[in-house]
Amino acid sequence: MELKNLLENQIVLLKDFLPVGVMALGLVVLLMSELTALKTRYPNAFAWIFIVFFSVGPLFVEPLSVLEAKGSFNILLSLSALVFGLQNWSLTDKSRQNSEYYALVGSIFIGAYVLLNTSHFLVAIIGLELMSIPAYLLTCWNTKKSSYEAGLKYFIYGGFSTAVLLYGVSWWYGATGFLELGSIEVLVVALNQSSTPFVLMTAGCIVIGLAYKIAAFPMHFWSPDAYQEAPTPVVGLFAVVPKIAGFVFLEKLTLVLMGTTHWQSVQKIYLLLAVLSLLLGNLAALKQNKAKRMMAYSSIAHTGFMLFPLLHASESNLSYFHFYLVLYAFMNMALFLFLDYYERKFDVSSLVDFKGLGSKSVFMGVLLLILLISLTGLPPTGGFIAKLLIFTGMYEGLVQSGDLIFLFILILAGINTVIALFYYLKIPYFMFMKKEAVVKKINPKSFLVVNFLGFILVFLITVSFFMPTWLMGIINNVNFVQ
Amino acid sequence: MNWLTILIFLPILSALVVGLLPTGAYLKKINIAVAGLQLVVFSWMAIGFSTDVPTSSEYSEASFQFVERANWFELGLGANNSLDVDYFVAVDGISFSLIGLSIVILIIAAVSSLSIQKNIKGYVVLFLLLNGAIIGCFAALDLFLFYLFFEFMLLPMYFLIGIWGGPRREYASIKFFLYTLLGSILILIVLIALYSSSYVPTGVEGVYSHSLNLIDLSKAANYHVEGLLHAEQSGTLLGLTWRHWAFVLVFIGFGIKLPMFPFHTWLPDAHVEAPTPISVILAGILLKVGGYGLIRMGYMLFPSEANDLAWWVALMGVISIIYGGLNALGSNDLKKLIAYSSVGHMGFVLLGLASATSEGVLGATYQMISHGLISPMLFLVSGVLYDRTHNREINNYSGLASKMKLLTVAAVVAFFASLGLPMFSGFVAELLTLLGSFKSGATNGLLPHWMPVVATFGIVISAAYALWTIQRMFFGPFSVKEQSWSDQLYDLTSREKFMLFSLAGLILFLGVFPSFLIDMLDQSVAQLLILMQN
Repeated sequence: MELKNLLENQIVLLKDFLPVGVMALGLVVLLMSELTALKTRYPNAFAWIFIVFFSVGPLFVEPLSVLEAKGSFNILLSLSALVFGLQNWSLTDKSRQNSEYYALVGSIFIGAYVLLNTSHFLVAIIGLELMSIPAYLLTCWNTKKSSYEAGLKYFIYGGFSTAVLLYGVSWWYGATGFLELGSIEVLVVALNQSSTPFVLMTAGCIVIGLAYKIAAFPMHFWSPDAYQEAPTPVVGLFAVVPKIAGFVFLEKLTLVLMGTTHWQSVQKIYLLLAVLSLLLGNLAALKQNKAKRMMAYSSIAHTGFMLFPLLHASESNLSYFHFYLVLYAFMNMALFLFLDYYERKFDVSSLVDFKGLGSKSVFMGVLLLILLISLTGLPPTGGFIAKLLIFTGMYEGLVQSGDLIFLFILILAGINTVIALFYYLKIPYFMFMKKEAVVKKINPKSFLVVNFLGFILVFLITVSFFMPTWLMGIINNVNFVQ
Repeated sequence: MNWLTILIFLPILSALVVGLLPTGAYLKKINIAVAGLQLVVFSWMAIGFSTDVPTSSEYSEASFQFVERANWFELGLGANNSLDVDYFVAVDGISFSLIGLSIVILIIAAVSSLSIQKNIKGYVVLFLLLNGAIIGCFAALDLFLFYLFFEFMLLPMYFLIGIWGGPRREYASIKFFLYTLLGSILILIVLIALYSSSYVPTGVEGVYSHSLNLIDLSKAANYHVEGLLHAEQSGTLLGLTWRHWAFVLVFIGFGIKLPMFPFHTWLPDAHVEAPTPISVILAGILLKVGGYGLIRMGYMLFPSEANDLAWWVALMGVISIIYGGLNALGSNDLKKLIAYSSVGHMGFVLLGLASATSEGVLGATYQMISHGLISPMLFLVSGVLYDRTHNREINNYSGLASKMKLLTVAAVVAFFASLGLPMFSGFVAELLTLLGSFKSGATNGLLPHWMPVVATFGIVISAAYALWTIQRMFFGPFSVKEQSWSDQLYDLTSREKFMLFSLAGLILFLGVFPSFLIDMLDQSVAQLLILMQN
């Protein structure tokens, strides 16, 4: 295929990307308004501009895509942008929140939107870079030496993984003659003509490249440092936005690969990534004493969990996967909202700092407890249903394929739930069971918006337990894949 | 009226209301009032409870009473699957008597909680939530609902031990939580296998659904031919069929809760560190949830597999009896001694169930009720001493009878009941269990004769530690370790009298008139046995 044709096709495709236009406009508005006196007159102006262009705007120009057809996950991006905007709007000290800050975050959203809605490798790489480059800068945002170190680490890993990904894509092009994940039948025929080691190399490189964005083993090393150093509202985005986008693209890739005759071998790559992410995430989280760092490892463990359904990507397993992904997004949005709250109100950074805070703010403490229970996967929270469905998927894999590997996963995932409980409970343990050692300074400002947002998110998570049908109904209605 | 729903949600709603009220000592009285109100509702139900339910070849809704059923949700899983979950509560004799036991113990524990001083509001809210979860767990007949309540008991318990407990409370509470969660993960795996294998006609021609309804799941016809848990599924793993594995997982899962050797190590820690009222609930009710779960999910759903593995079940029971007894004999902390004695007594539940005879199974269920009254009484006795001196070392006391006459009476009653003396409920339970297991060797051949023989030896051990403890602590010349204690050791207060002697009365009543409880249990046990003997 000629390059010219190729680009023309993409231009046609870009018409679907009207929301990207809105967001790009938002970037311009944000950067231009820095030149005016807007910020001095209205301190919240940037947050509002951000919400209008990155949350409300994309939904407004593409309202139907939310509930039907492809980009059903776009609404999660809009929701995430809304949470981020409101969270920053409620900040009292806005000295570091200039327009560049919002513009960099906005660029992450554009990248995520592009990656979510494309099935073309080159466009996906543009999306990946649009997400990554601002993320490096945002990691350094606190201008400390350790932040620079984390940013550099993130940058090096990012560069390396993009290179690996591109290398894999070039093999893919060699094997199939396509740069797109378009027609599954055509691609499967082409891939079946290649030898297994060749396909393994291709798929391995691409999957490892994507593993960087979803923070799966072995490309996870950047995430604990970046989570620790970046501003907490931004960490909330790191944990949700690139992960959704990366996972959805990985799913599209998996649907092609699982049709090929090489799947038995390629599956092993997924298995290795999933099992090691789960084990490493959970075991490393046990030893952490910083809250955000611990949650970074927990997020790696969740990545492992979400990779399991892709091992046996039947129709029902994909809907379990989507269910988990949506709940994961809710839970992590809420989680970093809470950590941000505690950080700003009580100056909490390590787990020990949570001592005695349960009695200081009972409402938020109980909400955080429910949230952590949900992250562990216990009833009565949505996290339980999500975990139940993943387990069900593994059981179906066992019955349908007869492969005992699924039994092994089932047991491993069960044991890991127990391990996870141990470290998730550390926060409530310090909050409710320990007396506060020294009375720390408490930020007297009101946190009404954050309280309210936290309540809404936790409420949604709990409702997903008592009425899982509302979420599953939306997910099942979506003919997401094509 | 939806009496069971009232019993379950009265405490849960009260917990929400208490959460909004200002803190104060009056909340502890609300706590007692809620449990009292539950007792009133329960008594009303007991009048209408029929002990004469006809048995049939398999379970049906007619085997249960006070049935309430409503659709909860129907979760579509992929194109042709759906998971149907009902709000389905009902009771038979076994669960009804356990609910009765729970309410009695909860009242006692609520009265005992009057001495709690720290963070009263939080305590009462957690207590009420625990209350609702316990009743819900015994009443649920849908596995999803059962599992929800089963898990929901953990969290209040974790905080109740962890905040209001003794010096090593953090360690004890997390150990309790992790052990029990490990057990419930095993149960969860079986739960998934059950509903994925089930294939229940919905009434509409040709439409089937996955169900978690225990009655549906107890019928072999409701499993899909290709499901792993179908009775004729030929696949095996390490020589056992999948149904056998499912029973093993359920057995271990609830065995942790029971607790049986070698998964019992959380119990002494949790008991020693828990405050007295929570020890009372833990010993009186939570251990019974383990036994009850084993009956409901293990024996009701996998009766023939349970019989195939009866030898192992009974072996674990016998080891628990001997091992628990020997550990109790070696314990110097009074609470630890009682905790290990619980391990031993709950071993009889396993032995009785494994025998698959009517005497044995009846004895096992009787033992759950009986031990649910005796061990709380023992914990209250140790609580009385701990309140006075903050010390529970057996060696630090001697000749308490001369100073605390009523406590001595209560302690002697409790220990004698515990060692299985005639006239007390423990005797009936252990006698029935041993009769059943001897009979099993002679009739169905499930258990060898040496097992009941060894278990009988366990009774001798329990007599040894009970009598020895009484002798060391209560008789002989009066002496205590610290001089100052002798002034603090006043006799029972009226509240303590109420708690101890009402329990003693119940224990005596069930020992002298066993037919009262046996009538209630009989039909339900017979129904279970029809499944087990097929």
